[in-house]
Amino acid sequence: MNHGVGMKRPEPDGGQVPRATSTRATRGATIGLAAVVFCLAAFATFAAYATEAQVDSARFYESQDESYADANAALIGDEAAQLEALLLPSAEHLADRSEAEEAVVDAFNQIAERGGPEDARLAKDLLALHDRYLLVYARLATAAAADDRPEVVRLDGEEEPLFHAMRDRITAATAQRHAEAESSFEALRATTRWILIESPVVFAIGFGLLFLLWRILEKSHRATRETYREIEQLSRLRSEFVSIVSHEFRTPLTGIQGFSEMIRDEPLTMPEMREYAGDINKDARRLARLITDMLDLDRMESGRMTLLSEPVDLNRIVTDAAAQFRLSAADHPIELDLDAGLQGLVGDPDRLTQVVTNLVSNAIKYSPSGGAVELQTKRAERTVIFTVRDHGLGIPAEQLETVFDRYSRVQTTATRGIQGTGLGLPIVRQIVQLSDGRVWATSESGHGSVFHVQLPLRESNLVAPLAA
Amino acid sequence: MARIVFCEDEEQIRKLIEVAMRSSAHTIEMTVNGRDGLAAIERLVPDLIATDVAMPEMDGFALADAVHARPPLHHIPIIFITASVQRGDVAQFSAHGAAGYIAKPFSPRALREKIDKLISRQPVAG
Repeated sequence: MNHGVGMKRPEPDGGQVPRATSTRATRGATIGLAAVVFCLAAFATFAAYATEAQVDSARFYESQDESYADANAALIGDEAAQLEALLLPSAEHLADRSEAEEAVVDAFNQIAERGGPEDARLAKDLLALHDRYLLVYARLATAAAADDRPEVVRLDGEEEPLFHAMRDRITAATAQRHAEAESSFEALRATTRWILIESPVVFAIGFGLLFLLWRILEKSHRATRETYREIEQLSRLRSEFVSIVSHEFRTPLTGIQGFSEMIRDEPLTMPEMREYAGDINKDARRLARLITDMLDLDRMESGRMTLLSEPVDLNRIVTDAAAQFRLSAADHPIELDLDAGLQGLVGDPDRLTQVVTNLVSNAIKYSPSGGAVELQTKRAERTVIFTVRDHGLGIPAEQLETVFDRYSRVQTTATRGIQGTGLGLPIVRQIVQLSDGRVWATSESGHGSVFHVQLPLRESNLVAPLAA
Repeated sequence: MARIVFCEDEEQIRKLIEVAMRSSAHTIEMTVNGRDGLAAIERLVPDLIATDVAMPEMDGFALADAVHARPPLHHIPIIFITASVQRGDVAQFSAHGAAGYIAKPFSPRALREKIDKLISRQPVAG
């Protein structure tokens, strides 16, 4: 009995090459690295700029201090000239220079003392003009010495507006310069603060948001790609399915149609008619088997199949299957190595028969040059292991798992043309899994394959239904 | 009377072809795959080759290519008897130099008629 493993399928339409997800990961890492490098470079550039701005700021104030006196000198020039004109007449008889200088210092110290800090500053500035106005001040001082110094120093009040004008102008100008500088440096400081503190935060947040957006888009894109791939896969499976079904149905239909037409149209003898009717029947049964296999697999995969749960004599199933295949595949000696002590296996006898026949049929089919098929049962602790070993084409390592997938038959030049719907092994896997067992294949490509089925042994009185 | 080599791996279809061709005047040689078919073709140099496409050992397309690559054989018309007649298959038949094709399932009478038609176009050898 051949459960859907004796049929052919059309030419494969080429393998689906899985896309390399590592390329995507590499691209993502590269983009991330580039973004980080960019941020670091930008930060370094701005930090350098900010540092330079701070240095400039410091230099400005330094230069301001240096040029302060010069600037004030220019500002007080007019008033100083007026002061000179005012005081000159009373200092005509200046003689001793050092005495004059001392007098100047004293005089201006007194001027300074009369006013507040601004006057002191003004006095200091005037002293800085010492060289230029030394003569005037000396005359003034001399005059003061001659005509009662305090009085002269106090002067007569005419100089007061001049001093005040100078003081006010200088104070205002200074304040304005400082205000302008402060405004300028405040902007600079704000820029610096932005560059050094706020911009990295904004950059980090922006980068984080972009990264998040990229991840979301990437995830969405991946999901879309995955969905598309699944649809593509389903579409391919559907096409394959239609193609296989079309192909596999046509073969037995050819016999049914052809032999029935012969019976109808040709002058045949009764034995011939009987023979052709038998051929029609054989093809009809083959067709029915194909449909049954497809429906069985569908029911198993959708969880709608319930297996029987009764004591099973696995050795008998294997022996019967071997006897059957010895008749139909005489060029494949079938060797048995059965563990006589097997007891306690519970399952669905018909389905386990299907497992054995599918695996043996598979072994024979993929050993086109003949060769022995070895069947073994062996108890291993609380399980039984059934193995089918052939010496055929073998299975490439990367396909040891996928051979159990629907329509995933090993496709090579050597196997092209080997009949099969790709349903035999999926049915085996489904039955074994529904029986709480497992099935796997080992192989050395070109040196045959071994299919292992491991089923649990149970006490008969503890048996529970195997499938819901 | 012509000589025809058939290549078909399905036993039931081989039998159907043999039965269907009994009432024709042609001599047929039945083989089970492309490799056996090519050996028979080289040996017999038939008037027509009718082959399945999907077969073990050597498929129908490889057989057609091999026949066309051999000068003593390349004139022999080839028809494919195939269950794969979906869109695209027919173009492949032409690409492999087919003189025609017969889709499975086929009527025995249609098979005979198709073969007779192709044979009548060819100068019969022997």
